[in-house]
Amino acid sequence: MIWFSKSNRIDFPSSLKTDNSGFSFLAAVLSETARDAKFIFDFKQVEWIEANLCAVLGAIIETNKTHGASFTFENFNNSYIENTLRNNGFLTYIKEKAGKPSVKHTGIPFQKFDLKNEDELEEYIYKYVLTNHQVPEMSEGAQKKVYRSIFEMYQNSVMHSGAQFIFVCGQYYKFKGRMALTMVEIGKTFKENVTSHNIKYAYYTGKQSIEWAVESGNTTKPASETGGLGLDLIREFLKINGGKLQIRSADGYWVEKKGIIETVDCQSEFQGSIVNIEFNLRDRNSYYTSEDIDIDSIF
Amino acid sequence: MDSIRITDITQSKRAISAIDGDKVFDKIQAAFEHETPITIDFEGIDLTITAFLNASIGKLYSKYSSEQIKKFLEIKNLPNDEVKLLKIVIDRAKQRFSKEYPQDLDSIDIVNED
Repeated sequence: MIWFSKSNRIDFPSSLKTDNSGFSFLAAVLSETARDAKFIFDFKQVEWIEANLCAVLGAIIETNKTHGASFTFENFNNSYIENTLRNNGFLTYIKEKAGKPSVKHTGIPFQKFDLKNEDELEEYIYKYVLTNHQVPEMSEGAQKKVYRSIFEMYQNSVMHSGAQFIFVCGQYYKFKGRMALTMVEIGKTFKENVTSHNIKYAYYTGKQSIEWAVESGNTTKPASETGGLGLDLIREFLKINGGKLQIRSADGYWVEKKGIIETVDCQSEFQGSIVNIEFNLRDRNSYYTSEDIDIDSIF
Repeated sequence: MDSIRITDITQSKRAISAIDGDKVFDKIQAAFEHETPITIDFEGIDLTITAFLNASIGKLYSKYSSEQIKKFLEIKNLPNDEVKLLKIVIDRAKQRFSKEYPQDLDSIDIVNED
């Protein structure tokens, strides 16, 4: 399963999806293009690409440019592919000349954020995620849980990745009533964080490291700090919402959908973390808390 | 009595940054060191996350007892939904920093309230 020729032309597969196979392909692209060379990403076979994966492609390009790599995209034979990449702004990023997005497009723009500038991400999320015409059926309580999930995940990157940048891209799937948001950093993996945290976990694989990190109460923070709740709350919400959470980091892949977890020991390493959250936008649960909690009683 | 308005620190309706949480923690800690009561006012905040609440309030339990925190800290205008989240954060912090908590054990089961 190698897509790389001596000419540094990389044939993209006919279908690139947000799943273990898609992530493994992109992990191979990240490692194979980390050198001073000119690479061609050839899309001639591509019939389907999930637009949120532009977050991973952008992360690969930006990271490997620092190793001297340069990238050209060729053969957008399919107008669907070109429109998809135009609508989320990725085409503008990879080509100097690209048309404007269509007025009613369903992309959430590809963007790179400095992890030190948290305000920019906040602004972006409120500008593009869950705007009124996209979520007519979603309760206010559910919308709040979506925002909270995204910001919890982002803060995990800020605190644990050691990376400078995070790459974000999303896509609404109108007919399925779902929204996918992918966040990628190239930095410390779950495996590096967990295995260096405690000698007991020193030989954990990427898969085991993710499994450990998503468990309630587990945190790699120093003993004087508390944590380990963010991912647990996201999972709890997604179970009720009917959403999905996927993580690819180092040689581990982990996915939870409707409370069912699948994990894979991957053959390739991804030198960072890809997190994809898929929300069900037809969530009418109110998530309303009727019980009043006396604040003085919680200390 | 000292007072902190969270919106003065976050410059936003959201308290979603651990760095902002650290700033709040430093102010609370300074008041506690002088045994001065302090009020944390969440007026105008409509969303918090655990990363902020851990850094600002949960971490207090690593240095101070529940009694001290109860005596010197007042929290105002926190929406009910966020109080529920703060309770989860505080329960977790109490477990993590309790004397009974085995320091080499990072995996514990938490019974969430909701």
